[in-house]
Amino acid sequence: MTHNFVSYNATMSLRLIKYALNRQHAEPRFFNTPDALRDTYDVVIIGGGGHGLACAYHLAAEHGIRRIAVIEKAYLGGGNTGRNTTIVRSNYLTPEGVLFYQRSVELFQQLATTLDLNLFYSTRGHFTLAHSEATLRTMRWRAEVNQHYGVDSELVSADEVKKACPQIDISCGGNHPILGALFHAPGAIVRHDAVAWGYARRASQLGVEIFQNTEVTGIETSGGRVVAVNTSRGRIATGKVVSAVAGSTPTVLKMVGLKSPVDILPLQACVTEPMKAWLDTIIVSGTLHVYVSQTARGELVMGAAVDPAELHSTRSSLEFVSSLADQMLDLFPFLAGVKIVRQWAGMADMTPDFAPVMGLTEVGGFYLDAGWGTWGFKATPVCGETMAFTVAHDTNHRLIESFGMERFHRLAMLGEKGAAAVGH
Amino acid sequence: MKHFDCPVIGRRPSQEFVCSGSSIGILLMEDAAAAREALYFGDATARVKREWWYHKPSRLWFLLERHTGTDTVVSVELATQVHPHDSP
Amino acid sequence: MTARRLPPREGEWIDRSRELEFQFEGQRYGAYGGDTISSALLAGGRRILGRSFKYHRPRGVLSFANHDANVLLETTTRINIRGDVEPVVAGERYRAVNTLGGVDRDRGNWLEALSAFLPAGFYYKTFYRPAVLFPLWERLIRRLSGLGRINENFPTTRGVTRRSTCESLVIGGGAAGLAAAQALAAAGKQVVLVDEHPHLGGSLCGAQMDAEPARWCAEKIAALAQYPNLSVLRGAFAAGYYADGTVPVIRPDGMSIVIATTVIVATGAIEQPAVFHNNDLPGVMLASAARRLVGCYGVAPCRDAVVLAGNVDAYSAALALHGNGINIVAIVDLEAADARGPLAERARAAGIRVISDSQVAAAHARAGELAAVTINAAGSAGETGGERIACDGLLMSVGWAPAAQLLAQAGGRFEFDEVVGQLRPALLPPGVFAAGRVNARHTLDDRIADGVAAAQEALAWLAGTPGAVARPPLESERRSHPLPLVEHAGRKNFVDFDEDIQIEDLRTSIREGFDSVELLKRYSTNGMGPSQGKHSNVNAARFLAHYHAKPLGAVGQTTPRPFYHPVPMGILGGPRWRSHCETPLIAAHTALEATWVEVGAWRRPRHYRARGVAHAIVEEYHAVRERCGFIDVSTLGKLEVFGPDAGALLDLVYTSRLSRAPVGVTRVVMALDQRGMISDDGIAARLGPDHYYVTAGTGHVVATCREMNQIAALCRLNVSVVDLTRHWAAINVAGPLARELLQPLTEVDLSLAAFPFPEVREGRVLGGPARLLRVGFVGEGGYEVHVPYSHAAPLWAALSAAAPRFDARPVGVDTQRLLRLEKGHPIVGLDTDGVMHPFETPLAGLVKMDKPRFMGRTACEYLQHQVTRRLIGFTTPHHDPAAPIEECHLMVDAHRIVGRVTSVGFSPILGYTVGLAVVEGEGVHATQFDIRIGGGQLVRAHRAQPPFYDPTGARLLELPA
Repeated sequence: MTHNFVSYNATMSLRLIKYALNRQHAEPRFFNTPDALRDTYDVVIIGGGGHGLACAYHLAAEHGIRRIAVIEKAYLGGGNTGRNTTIVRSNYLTPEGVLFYQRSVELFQQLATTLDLNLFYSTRGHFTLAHSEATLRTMRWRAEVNQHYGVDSELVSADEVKKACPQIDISCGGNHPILGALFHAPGAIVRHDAVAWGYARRASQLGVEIFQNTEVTGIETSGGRVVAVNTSRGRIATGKVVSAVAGSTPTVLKMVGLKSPVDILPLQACVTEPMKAWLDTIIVSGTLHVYVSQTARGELVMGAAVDPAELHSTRSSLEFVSSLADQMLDLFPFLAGVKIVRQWAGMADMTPDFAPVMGLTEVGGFYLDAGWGTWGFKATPVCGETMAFTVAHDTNHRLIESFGMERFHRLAMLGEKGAAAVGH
Repeated sequence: MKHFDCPVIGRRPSQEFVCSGSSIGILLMEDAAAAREALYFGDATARVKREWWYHKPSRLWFLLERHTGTDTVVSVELATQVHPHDSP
Repeated sequence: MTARRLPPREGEWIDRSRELEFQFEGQRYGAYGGDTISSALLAGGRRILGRSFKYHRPRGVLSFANHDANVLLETTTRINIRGDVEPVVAGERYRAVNTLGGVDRDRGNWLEALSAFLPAGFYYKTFYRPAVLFPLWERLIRRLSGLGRINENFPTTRGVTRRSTCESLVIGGGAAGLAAAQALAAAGKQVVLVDEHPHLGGSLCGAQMDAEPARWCAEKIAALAQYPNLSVLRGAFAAGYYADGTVPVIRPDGMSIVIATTVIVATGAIEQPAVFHNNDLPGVMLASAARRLVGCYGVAPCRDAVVLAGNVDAYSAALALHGNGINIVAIVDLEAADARGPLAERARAAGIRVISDSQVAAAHARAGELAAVTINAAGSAGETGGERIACDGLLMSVGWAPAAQLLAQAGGRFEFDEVVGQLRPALLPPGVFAAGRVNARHTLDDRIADGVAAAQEALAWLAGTPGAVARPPLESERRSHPLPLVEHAGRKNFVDFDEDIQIEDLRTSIREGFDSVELLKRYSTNGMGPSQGKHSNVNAARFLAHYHAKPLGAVGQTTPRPFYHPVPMGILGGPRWRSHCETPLIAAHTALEATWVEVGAWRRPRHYRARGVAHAIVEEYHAVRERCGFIDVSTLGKLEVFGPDAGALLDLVYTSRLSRAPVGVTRVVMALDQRGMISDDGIAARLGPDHYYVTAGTGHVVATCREMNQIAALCRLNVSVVDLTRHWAAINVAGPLARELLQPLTEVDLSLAAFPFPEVREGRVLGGPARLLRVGFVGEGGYEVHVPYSHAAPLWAALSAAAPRFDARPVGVDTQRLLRLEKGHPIVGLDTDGVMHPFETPLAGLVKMDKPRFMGRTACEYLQHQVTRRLIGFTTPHHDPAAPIEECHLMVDAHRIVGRVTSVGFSPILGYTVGLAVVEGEGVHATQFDIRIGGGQLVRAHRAQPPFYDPTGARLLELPA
């Protein structure tokens, strides 16, 4: 082991070796912290999470727009970017969803190179367990749609689940045994914070200005178009505003006089103490409301469904963590003595149809990146790419055409919710 | 654990309830265009809202005024005591 | 017992009459009852108790209070056992986690040699080029990381969960907590007092060498025993503060969820380490750890100790320990010793050398353990000009962090108090009070007075007259040194022991832009380890403040999430309980060798006598179509709706107009949600002018019942809805001979003239009450017989007894689904999805738009013109059991998806395959489709209008053929 490690010193980053030899030498800052806002920017991005920063990066890198301000009310990646369970996958149900997330996975797979940062992108394989005939049926639906679009996704038997994850209790403690699973080989986990930092660094290098601890207090419009953004650090004149604020979406929409199609529900997660690596796959069970993967550090990161009532708060609940632990033990009974260290919550911006709301809005120059519910992190790169295109061309990128808010004026829902609602 | 102080059934933990929000009010809305908009759009900012909460064990509906930012419950009343014209 | 064990002392926590033995890393050790694993190991002369997470450095006791993760052990049944606080289990074999070859000869220590290459965030900057190699690196990293090794044979020990309420919960049984608890109990309140230690007394316990506090403590504890309204939970910790005063108290056997009207947080303060070269050597520990070891466990963790002083508490500790089994060689005071007041004088008088304005610059090891320290002038860089003092113990007392996690979770706001040098609660939510060290009161008298005052505030709150009570004045003396850190270039100095984070890591992180407490934590991982920053967050914040030349108060603090200490999943999960429903006929189905399918909380027979699925289904199918079959449909939702407004309610809930249905008939009903999507269907039977009986989907009946009650409340309707789903059972008797089979069992006249389709009758079956519904789901004449739960088994038995005469047979779900498929009846949730509206389905006719109001009408007004997909029927000659068409196979046109099969089956009577499908896009108008089945094969299917079988309904209506 030692030999491997040392022999790879050669391929280790030169920066690091330099650093090791001379500890006074520090890396350059990841992101800038400009002293003051300018009076005007070409684009103001509200929200310094993964989505906002990715959008800034793509605008600067691909569309030549450099006068960009990213306004973050707290710290970078401190919202849902840093609160999710870091799963990346593309095994969605609708064609719109599959194509969109397929592109996201593609971008994720190259992202370490793009951002020149190790994101610990780890392809683990993703099992969505079926505990009933009805779920198995829905899995086949997803598998068929996925395969149609070239996404690696298949229905597998309970035996195959057991083979990939020998520790799992297929009988699930006696109720709702595992009958099979949807297996999605490209399913991955990635270090979530690093995604935000990496985009921030790249964007900074391209001249994007990032303002932390700066809150947007209002958006001025004139003649149906955005003209300025007011912040806790002053007013910015701008013709283009991107809202990428997840849980604060209703508040920002209100600033431009729009009603909100998203509701805010807490989404909670928790993490155990580190243990030696044993879980190599990502395991998800909708029936048991559990998803779990093991980080490179050895912790189990676990999540469940969104909380049942609207709440704009990141408070934790005991009900969540105790019911999650209870259900986890059906899958992995030997974890009873393993301790949960920490629980936390994010504010999920849920849409009625479990698909995002993106792109142009009724207000000129106001672009929305919202409706991320429980699937926002995995969309980070593709949101950056498509939103940047949309902002630069004032035209929805083709991958997000069907995600427009206007679908709800037509009382039309995308089918992503369909599978979730297909019951027994 | 959140608790609600309810008439009739007393103080009960929130897990015994199902929240259905306020969309049921659309059933009685007279203005068709407004009703249609209310199906998908609303004011989802944090504020005091009037919501319907169903108590599963007793099968009673309660109307809560709750601040959706702080989870503070301002008032609770039994839904059957509400006249339709008072409803959200 | 051993050289390290001190003579017995009054009030100690160990029971010397009970001797135990256990093993650590293959060596035998003795222990007394009450010993923790660490105290027993220290008593046995062992000082290296673990290895660090990253560099595998030898580690010993640091806080001895569960504020660090230096001593993590594993056994054959558990991992990550906290040796400092877990009692020794007799005969157990412990070993340290995360070593390569044992704690004494850990081969993982080569990693330390590489540490220069591993600055904070190093892994973000390497291993990813070339990308193909990352999986190899990842495998190595995963192998090196992690703590204990789990084993899938570990026992599944679930805890018990208790729930209780109280008027006041006091968290922390130290001076403030004891005082508060007594004041509340004396006022007659229901009080629960929680302390994580096995004995009350908090930091006073380790002070037993001081006579006065010990006496006060003993008296208080004795006094508390008199109150029947006070319950004490010892060896139990408050894991978090949740909404409305909910505090889970974790005990070794389970969780007590305490719901308190008022909460007094008297959780004390967590002593903080100093940071200098080799500050992690076994033998370097917090002074409070040494006090507790000596005072409570009778263990001397060292012989000759240097005390590093950053406050007056260091002197108390030195005086308490000196001559009590430990020789205090020197007190090294970071500041002017003369300013410490009388305690410094006492220390000198006791013969302790006091070295003023100096720091411990480095600790030195022999055989991996502390052997000496180098001291020099406070504030000097590195070890310049140092004096070396031999010692095997270095006891640090340089500062405290309030244990304010629960207060923060409760919504408390904090301010940094420059005088005391710690955060202090500035604003607490109603009903939550802080007292003692967590409230920045450090002297014994102040802690007691603060506890009493907090109790008075709680009493006032309980009385409904909340108001602040005068607290003792704030400390006038600083208890925490502003920057107890000594930097050395290139030397190990640990801020976070869990994560092996050093000052240099913090500096690197800050320089790279991670310059707020939250970003610093996430990038450096300081505070992310098992002890969640209890010993490291404050020092990291102090360094950050120092770096920015800002006051500590200006850099803020990270958000402390639950849990205070980690909690095992078996305890959080509690006892296992799963909702499960059974129809009354389970025994009968079992006797018939049913194959089961789970339907929500229920299970139903798929088919009987498993001689192969296909065979069973064919037999059952022919029985229904040619003779008679009977099906357990007890899982159907069953709702009783009665009252003057019953019809009005159903008119609002369902799309059809039930108030005009004649008494004695049934109607198929469909419910929509507000957005017009199909949510449920069923049969509504009108039993009387004000009385309906309605069936609903198995999985949806709870929601349907709920919604009926809601609409009744909204519209102030005079109606009652009762869910009979689990009270009544139902058997569908169907087929040409159904009447003959059933008539002998009931007095209800089943003749066609007296009881035609689709009517309903109430009457008696086998002498008991029953409701008979003529329903058409399977397409044959028949009767759905609803009887009380306990009557179902006799009815099934009677049907079975009579069956042979008609060659009738029990029928399972698979056959039922095929039969209804031939009739083209969609099943909600199977053929429809959550976003399907009625105008996309054959059920559109059930929507009566002439009604002014019903659920979903607003949406229907618009949706009736918005049909972009349709639920249609199809047929195909394809019938190949080796290459079947399955549900959810797609219909494709070139490269587009144009539809999806929702139901499919081979019709034995028709001789071809029939199915339902949702089509969209070009599929909406297409007349033929290619279904892509397994292996990519395309199967041609043709659009066909259901019903496929008996399209005129003649069989149902029993019209002459």
